[in-house]
Amino acid sequence: MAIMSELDKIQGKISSDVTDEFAGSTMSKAGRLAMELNKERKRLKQEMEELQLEVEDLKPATPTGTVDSHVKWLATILGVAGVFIMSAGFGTAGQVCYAMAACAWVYVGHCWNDKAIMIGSAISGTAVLMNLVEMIL
Amino acid sequence: MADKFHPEELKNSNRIFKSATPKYDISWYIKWCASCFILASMSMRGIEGLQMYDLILSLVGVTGWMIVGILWRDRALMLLNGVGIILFARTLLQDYIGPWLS
Repeated sequence: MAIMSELDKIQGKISSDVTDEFAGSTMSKAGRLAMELNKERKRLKQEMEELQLEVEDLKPATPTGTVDSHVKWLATILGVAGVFIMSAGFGTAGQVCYAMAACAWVYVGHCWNDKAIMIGSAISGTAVLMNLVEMIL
Repeated sequence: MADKFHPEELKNSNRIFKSATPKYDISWYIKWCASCFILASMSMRGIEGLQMYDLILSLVGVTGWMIVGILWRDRALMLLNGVGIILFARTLLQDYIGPWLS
């Protein structure tokens, strides 16, 4: 009796599409349940694979949740702030922000082993730093 | 590196230092072209009479990096280069295209 109620409980968790498919079956209750469970397992596996593909489609190609991704955001904020501060007429403060952003991007490029990011940031950072040094001296 | 190691070894090894960003796909070519444009623009920065070429090359470079950001689905790159595109386009319109049209 207890086993039967347990089987009913399990059957209640299987989707109605699967249970309907085996509704007219002449198999024993346990046999039918085994078939239904197998079908449900396959359905869930397929659903999981589809979801995984959707996640991979939206996932960034660059690392997320790591130290370098946090440095990347810091560098982006500093870079944008630097450009706006320079446009507002505060040249030195803007250049300092931009130089820090360039250094942070060089670090990110190093972590990603991406030479294009490293070269671009290193050269623009050097140019800004040279300007700053000229201004100071 | 691709010639030295078997593709499976390259994919699964923790010892081989791999690039975190895609290699030899469309984004890789755009990334290097955009970097060349930005470096070319920087090389003529501050030279009298070449400011417009500097702006155009910079605009093409940051647009290339924007495309790379979209292809990598990297929001930081999109934000940074989006701001760059707006500022370069505004300067180009204000200082060169606007006066030329009027």
